[in-house]
Amino acid sequence: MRIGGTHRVLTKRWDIEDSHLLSTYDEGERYQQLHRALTKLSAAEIIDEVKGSNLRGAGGAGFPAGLKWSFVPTDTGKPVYLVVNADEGEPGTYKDRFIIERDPHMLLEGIGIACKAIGSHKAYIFIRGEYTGPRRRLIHAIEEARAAGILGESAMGTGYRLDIHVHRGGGAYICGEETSLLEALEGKKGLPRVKPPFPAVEGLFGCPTVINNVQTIASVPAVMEMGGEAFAKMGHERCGGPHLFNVSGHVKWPGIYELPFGTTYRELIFEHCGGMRGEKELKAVVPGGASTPVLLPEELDVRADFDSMPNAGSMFGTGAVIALEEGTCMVRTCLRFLEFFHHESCGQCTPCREGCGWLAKIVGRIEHGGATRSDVDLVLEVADKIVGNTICALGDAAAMMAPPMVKKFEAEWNRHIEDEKCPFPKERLEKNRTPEESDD
Amino acid sequence: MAVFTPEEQSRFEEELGLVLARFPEDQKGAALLEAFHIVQDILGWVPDKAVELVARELGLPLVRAYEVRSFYTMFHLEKPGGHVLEVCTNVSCACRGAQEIVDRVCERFGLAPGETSADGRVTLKTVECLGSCGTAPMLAHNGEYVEEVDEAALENLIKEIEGD
Ligand SMILES: Cc1cc2nc3c(=O)[nH]c(=O)nc-3n(C[C@H](O)[C@H](O)[C@H](O)COP(=O)(O)O)c2cc1C
Ligand code: SF4
Ligand code: FES
Repeated sequence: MRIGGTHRVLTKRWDIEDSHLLSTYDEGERYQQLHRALTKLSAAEIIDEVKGSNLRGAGGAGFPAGLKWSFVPTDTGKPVYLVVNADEGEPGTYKDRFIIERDPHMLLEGIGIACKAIGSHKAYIFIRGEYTGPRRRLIHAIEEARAAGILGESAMGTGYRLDIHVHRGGGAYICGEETSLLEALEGKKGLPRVKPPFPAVEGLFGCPTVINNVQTIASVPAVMEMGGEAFAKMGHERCGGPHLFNVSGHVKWPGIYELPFGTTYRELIFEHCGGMRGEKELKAVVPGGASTPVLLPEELDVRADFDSMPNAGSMFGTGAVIALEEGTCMVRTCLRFLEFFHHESCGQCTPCREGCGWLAKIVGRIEHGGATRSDVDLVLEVADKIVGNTICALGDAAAMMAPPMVKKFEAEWNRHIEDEKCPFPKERLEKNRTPEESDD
Repeated sequence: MAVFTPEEQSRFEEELGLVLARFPEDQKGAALLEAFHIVQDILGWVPDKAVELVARELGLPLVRAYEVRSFYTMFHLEKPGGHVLEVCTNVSCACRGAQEIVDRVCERFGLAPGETSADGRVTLKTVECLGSCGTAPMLAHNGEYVEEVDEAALENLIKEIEGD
């Protein structure tokens, strides 16, 4: 797997041995931006800098981070919480894990700065339970920071109390949804809450709460160091800075590429990832995780950012790009995603619970045999009944992912029905991965 | 029967105490997921008796503890085999041959996904994306990630387990 890209801002230490240790992070920097935030800057000044940076939420929705922070009321008398979303479950996405493994102190520094901005003294990092190794790294980093006096009763000797805790999830994708995450953090089933009230006003334990993705928060030290304006300039229009594109599938070099927003998917796949792994041509690109509508090879000149993608009928999502080669069955791909959404639906809303189940069932019989001609239309019909009728975006995601899979590859779907089976071969394991494909 | 041996009991209490200290005093229930993880770290699964103990410790209604255990997929309801293999079968792994890993493990240990082999040696689960898509295909072996699995690596892993 490669780490690359043109802008090594968030990944600048990733190639250093022991990049996760405080001693590495210390070199020259030593939580300088946190120190500045705690001693020299007001909360409003930090928020302004972040607003000016056009830093967008990297958890999928792209909400402007500075704006979100500005919604927190400061006069409620209740504690304010920062919750960092490290639940990372969107299929194709693995950038947060690498931030935590390779540079946990960058995340901790970002947390400290964000806490100061919203008047919080306590942050919870909610990490998916399966991330055993990353969790160990994080706990170790927090211990190092505490021992060095960076965290604790008086963070960096400034008198500002700052506590960071790591809390494990139980293996449910839905807990990545921010209000479901709060339920899980309160020790309940992860059922998304109806909004409003929004978490900024009534979040964890009924207190004002900001929830941000790992990458969003980990970008904050860079924003403060180079200044909001410079960070904004690195990106494209209203999307500031670089993003960690996590690429998987059949490209030659899967990996994490730190590139500015606005890079095209064609550049990403053919210039940075070395194109496809073998002789086969590119067939389809899932641009931002399972929840995002598929792109065809001729649609790859769209700019990869939150605002351009809707014009191309898709979404930026998490920047989790899955490139699939000719010979990959799109019915099977769609089925795997639908089975995923069906499995992960929390079951609260009937359209999502039943609809995802039906979609998986219908597409299952198209893939495996036993479908009738009208089943293809039925997929579109069922999907249409889910959109807009659910509490959270999981139902919508399933219902918006499936139709383009059908419409853009219609001949293939019809062929499944005519043949009463899948015309594509099974995917095989490679015998020995070539060194070129593993590390550099 | 007690849930834990005395040593396990003190480990449980110590670790749970650290978790409780993270939360406001009137929010003990927030420790529930971590409490189950601690039980599972110690016992390898979360038996009914432990659910009762945890509910008691946190002052929660029993039904709340049970519904939470069943909502989250990580908590084992039965004692798993010595080697738990969780194979990701989502798209990034599937498109690089995850199904072949599943099939091979099933064939060699005589089980189906979700089952434990008759000798109690291996439990196989198919799971959703584990955040290793760039190093696909992958599996977790007793919680530790095994990435970029190719035929040779799979064969080595199976042999290692067979020889255990
Ligand atoms: C079904 C679902 C799953 C989600 N999973 C994640 C996730 O794993 N990680 C994440 O950061 N955001 C996830 N989100 C988005 C969060 O709800 C929320 O928007 C995000 O954490 C806010 O942080 P940001 O503004 O920094 O992106 C998910 C949303 C939905 C609807
Ligand atoms: S849309 Fe689905 S996952 Fe979201 S709250 Fe409704 S049932 Fe639960
Ligand atoms: S799809 Fe297998 S780890 Fe993400």
